[in-house]
Amino acid sequence: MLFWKKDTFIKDILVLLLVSIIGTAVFAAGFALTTNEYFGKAVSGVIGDVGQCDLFFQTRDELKGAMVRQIKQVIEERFPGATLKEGISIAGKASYLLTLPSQYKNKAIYNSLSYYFNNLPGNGGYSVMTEPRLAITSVPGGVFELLSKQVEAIPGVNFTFNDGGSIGVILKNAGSEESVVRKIKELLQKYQILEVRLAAPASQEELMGLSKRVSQSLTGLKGVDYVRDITMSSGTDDYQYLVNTLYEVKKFLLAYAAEVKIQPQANRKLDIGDLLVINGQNQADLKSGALLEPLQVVVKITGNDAAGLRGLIIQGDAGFLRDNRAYQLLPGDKIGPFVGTIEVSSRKSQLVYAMDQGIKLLDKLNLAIIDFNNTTGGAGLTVDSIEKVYQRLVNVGKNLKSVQSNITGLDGKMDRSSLSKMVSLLQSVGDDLDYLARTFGRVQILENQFDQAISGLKGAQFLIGNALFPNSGGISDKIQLLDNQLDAVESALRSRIVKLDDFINRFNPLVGVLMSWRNKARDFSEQINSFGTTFTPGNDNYQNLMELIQSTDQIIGNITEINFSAVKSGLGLVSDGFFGSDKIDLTALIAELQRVRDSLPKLLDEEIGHSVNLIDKYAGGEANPGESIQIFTEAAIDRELVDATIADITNNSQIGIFSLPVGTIQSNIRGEIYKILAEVRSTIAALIVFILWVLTFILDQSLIISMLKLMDFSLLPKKCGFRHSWLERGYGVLTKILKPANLYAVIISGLFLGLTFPLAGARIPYLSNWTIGIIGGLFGIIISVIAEKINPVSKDEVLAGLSLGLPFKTIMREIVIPAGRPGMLQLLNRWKMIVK
Amino acid sequence: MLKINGLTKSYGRKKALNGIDLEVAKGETLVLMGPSGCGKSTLIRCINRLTEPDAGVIQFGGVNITDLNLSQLLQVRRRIGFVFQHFNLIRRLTALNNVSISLRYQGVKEDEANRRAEAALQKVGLGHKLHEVPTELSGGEQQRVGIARALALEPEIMLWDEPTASLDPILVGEVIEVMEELVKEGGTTMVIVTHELFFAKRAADRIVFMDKGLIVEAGEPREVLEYPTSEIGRKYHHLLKH
Ligand SMILES: Nc1ncnc2c1ncn2[C@@H]1O[C@H](COP(=O)(O)OP(=O)(O)O)[C@@H](O)[C@H]1O
Ligand SMILES: [Mg+2]
Repeated sequence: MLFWKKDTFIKDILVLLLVSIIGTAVFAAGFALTTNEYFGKAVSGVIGDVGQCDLFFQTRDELKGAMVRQIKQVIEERFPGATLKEGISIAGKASYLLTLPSQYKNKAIYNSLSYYFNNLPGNGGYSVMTEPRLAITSVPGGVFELLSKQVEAIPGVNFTFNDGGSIGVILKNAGSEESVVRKIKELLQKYQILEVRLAAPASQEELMGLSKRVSQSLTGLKGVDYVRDITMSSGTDDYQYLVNTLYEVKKFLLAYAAEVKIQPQANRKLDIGDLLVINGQNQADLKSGALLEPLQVVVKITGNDAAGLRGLIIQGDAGFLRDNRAYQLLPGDKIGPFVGTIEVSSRKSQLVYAMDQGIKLLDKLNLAIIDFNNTTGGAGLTVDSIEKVYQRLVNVGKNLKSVQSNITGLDGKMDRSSLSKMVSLLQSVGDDLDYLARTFGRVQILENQFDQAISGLKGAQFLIGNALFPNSGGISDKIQLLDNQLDAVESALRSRIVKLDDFINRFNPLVGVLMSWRNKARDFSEQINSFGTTFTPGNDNYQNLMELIQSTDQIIGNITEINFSAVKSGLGLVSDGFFGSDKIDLTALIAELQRVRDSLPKLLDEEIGHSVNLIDKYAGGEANPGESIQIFTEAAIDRELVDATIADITNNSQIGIFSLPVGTIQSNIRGEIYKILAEVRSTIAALIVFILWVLTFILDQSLIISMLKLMDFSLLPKKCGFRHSWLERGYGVLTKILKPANLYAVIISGLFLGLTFPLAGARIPYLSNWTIGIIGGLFGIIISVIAEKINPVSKDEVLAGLSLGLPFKTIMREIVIPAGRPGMLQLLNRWKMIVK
Repeated sequence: MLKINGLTKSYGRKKALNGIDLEVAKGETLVLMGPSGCGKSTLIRCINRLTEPDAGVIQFGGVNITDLNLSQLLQVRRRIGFVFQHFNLIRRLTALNNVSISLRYQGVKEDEANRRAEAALQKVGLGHKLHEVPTELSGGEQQRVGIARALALEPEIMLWDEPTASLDPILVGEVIEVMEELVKEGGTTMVIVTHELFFAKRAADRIVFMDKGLIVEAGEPREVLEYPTSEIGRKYHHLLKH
């Protein structure tokens, strides 16, 4: 308090310091803020206000009309309600901002934006600007989906989409950004990409194979739960995808091509790339020295391994081959010497054969069932006829019994009419039994048919399902379906055979007995017809009658034991034309098989050969050989174990294994821009602070420093009386350095910068406010050195003032400051000056 | 009035004053003479401590000037007028303000200060140039403003450090005139450093010769100029005769 009441020049200095620090800070902050505001507006002009813009289009100015038309058309067709606004043009580029109504903000639409807005005029592109948005960049294609799904599961994430190779992440609201970013970071840290760098470059094909082997061997290692081979999908490069696809096509084609095994003559050495000729559909045999002809088959040797030489047909087709004698094909298409024999296994023809067989068998099966149903009225009829026979037999039995009782009651003579009635009864039973026997025969045939069908289907199925088409979509899916359906048919057939077996086993003995009864009954009725009707106990007639009665009783007894309804239901299933638990319609299944068979590519082996050659040439020659493979796996794995395993697989200790991050999170773009703007602002503020600092030092502080130097105040005694002269000299230097002017300059300059920087919100990248303060202090030394040159003080005038007994403050206010440079100090001094 | 004993002053290794003993009586006019660099300026600047002496005692009006604290020193300085060789006027101020400023800071009201300043300026013959700034005045006029400035405080003693040395010979006369006037007027003790031999001979009560930081001869003007004992004195004697 006392200090402030006292009128000292120190107070003037403090006021000056305060005013200039606050003034500088306010001005710098204000200027920077204004600039920032201006830039902020410019940014909004370019990318729209927060949440205002979803898509940002840019094209050359002269093409903007065409682009707007195209965009408007898309809006009309696909996004009614969306609005298009013109943004600012910079450097000859027009920009447009498209705002989508919320119903269009979803994954499906964002993923297809490139489809809607491809081919904009002038190579015009678009970028997604929907906010709040994050992006995860450098995500390998192979794990794009996996990561997208996991990111989508994070609370606060609305949806993810493919933003030109990065995972675009649209948030539900800006507030969740921080937590989502944290979660995504955690997620990314859970995984890693192991990059295995090989000692020498390898072809893409080799890399693919190696990569597959490595990932397979890592799978199931202790502690390794998740492994994915992303070698071929690690880039987002379209070209890489193409090469990848070509290899798949090649695999498909090779699986389909005829494989030729070559057995060379003992003295012949054949190499990969050599060409062989085998007679095709030519009538004449091949002759050495003749020229190659179109109908001959040419094989190129493509492999030579433990299993021997292998080749591909590059002219003709396996189906054309007439013999297995191979001749070398010499340059100029000349047929060379006989070199060996070939053995062809054409999986294509095997497959076609299997399909044909399958269709044939199923056809036969179908016909048998239809025939069975037509002729028997279904199996039911068979059972019915047995029942009918049973009724008749019961009648026959009764008649026979009455005949017997008549015989015993009378004199052995029979009533003629009742006898003939019995004969006709016996005959009709006989007809029924014949019919029964025929039907029974059909059942046996059907069982046989089913049996054949099963073994046939098994063969066809083996060929079809024998992993011919590893991964080739379309056709393999169909074949898989067929395979499943054939499985169902087969098991259905098996259960029907069981039922048929059951039926045949029940009725087989009965039918035998019935047939022998029928013979007995026929003999008996014939006998009665031809030899009269005398049934004397003991005579032949009587004897036959007794036997007939006996066997009739026996049969009736047998038949009574049969559970007709059970047998009936079993046979109903047999005559059913639908199969399997999912009731496959056999006719439909046959049609489908036929379709698949027809849709098998009608390629000749030579065409396959050419295609494979072409792919090899393109992908093998044009594609850059790579030196690394990438495996996606978890971050927390036992690297030692993994490294050892990989080294083992690659058979190479010179490989390098590196762990790479699976993606990089890019925060909110607008946030980034504003961050940059804030940086710009603080840098501008820093610049202004520096300028004002220089100004106050040139105009104001240098004068005070000059004055202090002039006064030559000393903080230390002039002499200290050191004995050694060098100590004395050192002390002299110290007194020179520790002059009030220097100290003042250092302190004020450091204080000024150190305080104005934080106050103005100024920042210089990498420099803390403390550092700035120290730098300010260092600048102060320079200022102190050159102060008199910047702002000289007239020693004469000061001396005059001193001689008049004026105090320091008065000398400053009346003499020094008014004579100095016009600045804040002079301005403030106007109030203190008495003599104006 | 002023009594100096054993005064020494060095600038680094250079000894400017080598033990000065000097007594000045009240009302006395003392002229200091000596070759350039002999320490005259240093000596009279030590009196009001424009230069800090290294050692010695300067008794003035009963106090030892070298013992004073700052505010006491300021008080004492106001009682000592000082006229500089280079006038040392404050360039931004008019003649009047150059003179009145010390009064104003002594608490004298503006009007009174101006009146007294004007009177002082009139005394040196500049009543008509009150409002000129130093650059508008001739060298002689500027030095007369300097004299008026010293006079305005009504000092008990006036120290003159070669007041005419930087003036055109034509202009020297007007300043000498003012000085002779003041000496004639009496009452103020004067210590004058000058090379103006005739002025010294006419006006001085006593002349002191200095050489190499020491007083080598002192005495009445006639005595030391006619019959010098020191080498310096002889030089001045020689100068005076030719
Ligand atoms: N500020 C100073 N710094 C260093 N040496 C000085 C200073 N002032 C005077 N001197 C030296 O002290 C000696 C006396 O100087 P000064 O008193 O000005 O002599 P005079 O006034 O008699 O010509 C001279 O040698 C001069 O060079
Ligand atoms: Mg001098």
